[in-house]
Order: sequence, then structure tokens, then C-alpha cells
Amino acid sequence: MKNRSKEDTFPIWRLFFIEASRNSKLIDGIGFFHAVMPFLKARKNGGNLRGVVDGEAAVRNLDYFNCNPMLAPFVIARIGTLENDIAGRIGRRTDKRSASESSSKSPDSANRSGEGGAIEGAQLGSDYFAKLARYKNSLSSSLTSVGDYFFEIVLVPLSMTLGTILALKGLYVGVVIFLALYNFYHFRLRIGSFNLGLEGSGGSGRNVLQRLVPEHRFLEGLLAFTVGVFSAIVFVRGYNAGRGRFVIVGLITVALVLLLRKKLSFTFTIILLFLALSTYLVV
Amino acid sequence: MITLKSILLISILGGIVSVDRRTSLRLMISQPLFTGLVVGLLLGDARDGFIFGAVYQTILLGVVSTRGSRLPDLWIGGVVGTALFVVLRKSSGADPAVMGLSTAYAVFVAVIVGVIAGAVYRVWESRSDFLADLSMELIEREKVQMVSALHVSMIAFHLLFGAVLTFIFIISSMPLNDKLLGFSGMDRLVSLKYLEILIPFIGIGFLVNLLAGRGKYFWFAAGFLVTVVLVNALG
Repeated sequence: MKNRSKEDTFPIWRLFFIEASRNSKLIDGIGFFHAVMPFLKARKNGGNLRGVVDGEAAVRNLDYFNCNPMLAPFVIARIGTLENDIAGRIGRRTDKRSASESSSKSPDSANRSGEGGAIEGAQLGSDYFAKLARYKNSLSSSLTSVGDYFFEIVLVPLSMTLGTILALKGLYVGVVIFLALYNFYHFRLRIGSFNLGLEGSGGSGRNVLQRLVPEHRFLEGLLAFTVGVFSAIVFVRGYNAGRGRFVIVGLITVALVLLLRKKLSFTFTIILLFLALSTYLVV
Repeated sequence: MITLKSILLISILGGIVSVDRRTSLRLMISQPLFTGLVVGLLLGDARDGFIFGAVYQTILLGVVSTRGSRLPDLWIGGVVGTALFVVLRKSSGADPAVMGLSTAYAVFVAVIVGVIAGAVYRVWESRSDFLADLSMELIEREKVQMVSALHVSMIAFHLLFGAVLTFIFIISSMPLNDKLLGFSGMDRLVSLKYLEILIPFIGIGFLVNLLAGRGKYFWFAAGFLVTVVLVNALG
């Protein structure tokens, strides 16, 4: 069996801290650069470079980056592999032209044609890399919209609601179920999207989500069902504790959240309703 | 009484919460359901920590941050709130008034701490452009590894940021905790114990708001009705 060399192994942990150095100028650009670096290093070791130096690759990849962190590994893998492909293609083309011209001309002109090959390679490279930058931005936006939908709107509320239902019943297993369910999909998407990117699978963000979590529509339905279960449990608890009085207070609270959220932030909605409920109980 | 060792351990947990939220690690170990249990264990009363974590978690069920939206650090607030809740309950001598007050007080402190911590973080965020400038300068000088090191050092920064804030908030809230013990015997405050029953309604509101417009009302109604029927059938 062939042993994997150190260079073959991508340091996966780099995919988990993309937002650590977030700033308003590059957003997560530094995190992206840190994650894509192993690809650039591999290319440097592999050689086969003409017209594009490693420093340029570094400058090119330290740029604006804003993507959902769970699906960002897909962009990192795609850009990393495409960077390598493009550099390889430029290198081969430049070599081919230099070789064909040097075989038919004098050594002096062959030298000049070598320079010409390098210049052509650089121009070709800048065209390709400009396209690659546009691809990176459009891919990031597409992945962000599906990533935000799946993680923030479906997965986090689903796993948290399930865990909380059990916790309200006093069952510690709620914590385990919550963490297990969430992280099962979390790792599946982070690592899976990276592998998908390495395989060279193209397509939009929606395709990536569909391939990695084909059951995402089912999970959305499950979330609605779970929220229904949670609501029923809370209302039954309210009825048992204060009969119709707490049920009415509960209904008013839910209605107020829906109304206040149109105008106020999460924080102000929470503070206002919390103070209202406390005052109601004391007075 | 809370020991300095416990405060330090809880502060480290606050740091881990900060790393989980701010660096995109997102293992969800920052959620009150988990941190409540851990804080409870650290303070020798896992049950109380877990109960408060669950109640506080219900408020945050539908609180989601999509790209660009700014949320306060309600999760660091959860760590501080749980610590105060457990300590107050332990030192209350099971007085009903103080027990009732403990939930109201801890939730209120948690939210306020979240708002303050979020504001402090925004100050840092508004000055963090230097990271971009510095890393670009390093790249131009071909010090690629330094950019990498700069990025990794920010993980440590977030850990320290959360830990220091948690430490400061717990230490500064302790005198208030002691003062609240003076409310023991006030019958009017006993009814505050029902906050544990009423607070989850706020969570329902946020969750329904999240589901609104997604056309999943059938499944919501199905879940609601099935549970009500089952609860009635099983007594």
C-alpha cells in the first residue's frame, strides 16, 4: 500500500477557524489565505512554474472573502486545485513554446523566445486568475445563501429545539442529542464540501447542499414538527401551572414577539418581554 | 460562596464560548444547554446549572445570525448568568422568595452581559482593519508564514477576550448577588418562579417567526396536535 506523504495530507483544522481574523476590510480574507496556503505550498514544491511567482499567488489569495464558514471549505478546495491546474497549464504551454522555438532558431533567439514564453505565460495567467477571482466571489455568495439557510434556519433551531424539549423534561441526554445531531451534519458539510471541492465537482451552492444533504427538505419539515411539539409542551406546562391565565399570557407573548420583531432587534424584544413577564408575575 | 478557582475555570469556559462563536469553530458548545451543565458541574450543582441553561436556551431558540446581522454575546452572558444563578440558589437556604428571584435576576444579568460584551467586541471589530493592513504588508515582504501566525494568534485572542470578560462580569456581579439575599421572606417575589414556565413562550415566538413564510404550517400543527393528544392520553 502506498504511504501518503506529509504533503498529501491537508491540515483539516485550518477549515475550522476561518473567521478568527475577521475584519471589515477583507472580512475573512486572512482566514481564507491561511486555509488555502497548503495548496500554494504544494505548488511551489511541485515546481513547473513560469511567469507566475509564488509571491504573486500569495498576494492574489489574500483578498476579500465572505462565505458561510460551513461551506467555505468547498471554495477553498476549488480555488486551491484550480490555482494549481492553471499554473500547471501555463507552465506546460510556456515550456512547449520555448522548446519548439529553440529547436528551430539560434541559441540567442531561443533565449529571447524563452523570455517571450514567460511573458505569454504571465498574460495568460493574469487572464485565468482574474476569471478565478470572479468565480470565487460568485461561488461564495451562492454557498453563503444556502449555508445560512441550512445551518441558521434549519439545523441549529432543529437540534436546539430537540435538545431543549428533553432538557425541559429534566433529561441530561438532551445535551448529547443536541450536540450529536448538530455536529453530525456540521462535520458532514465541512469535510464533505471540502472533498467535493477536491474532486472538482462544479455547480451552484444549491447543488453542493443537495449532494451533501439530500434530506434537507425533510429536515425543514422536521423542524416545523419539532417546533409544534415544543410549543405544545410549553403550553401544556403553562396550563398545568396557571390554568387558562398562563395560556393567555403565553399567546399574548408569542403575538408580541411576532409584532415586535418587525421593528425591534432580538435583544430589545427579549428585554421588553422579559421585563413585562416579570412585572406581570410580581404585580 | 464561589471560589477563585471556580471563577477561573468558568472564565476559561467563557473563553471557549468566545472561540466557538467568533472563529467559526461552531461546535455549538457555546449554547447555554451545554454551558449551563458545565458551569453547574464546576460549581458542584449540575442540576441547577442544567435547569437554568435549558430555560435560558429557550429564549435563544430562534435567535439566528445570518451573514451581516449583529447579535450581542448572549452566549457569554449565559455562562455568567448560570454561575450567578447557581451561587444565589446555593446561598439562599432554599428561601422561596430568593429562589423565585434567582431566575429573573440571572436571565436579566445574562442579557445585559451579552449586550455589553457585544458592544465591547464591536469596538474591537471597528479597529480590526489593522489586521488586513498588517497581513498585506507581510505578504509584500514575502513573510507568508507570519500572516498564518497572525491568523492563528487571533484564536488565542478570542479565547482571552471571552475569558477576561467572563471573569470581570462574574467578579463584579458577586456583590449584587449578596444583596439579593436581603430579599428573603418577601412573599411577592415567590411568584417569579413561574418565569421558568413563561420564558419559553418568548422562544416559541422567535421560532414561529423563523418558520413564517416557509409553508410548513401543516407540520407545525401536526406536531402540536400530536403532542397535545399524547399528553392527554398518557396523563
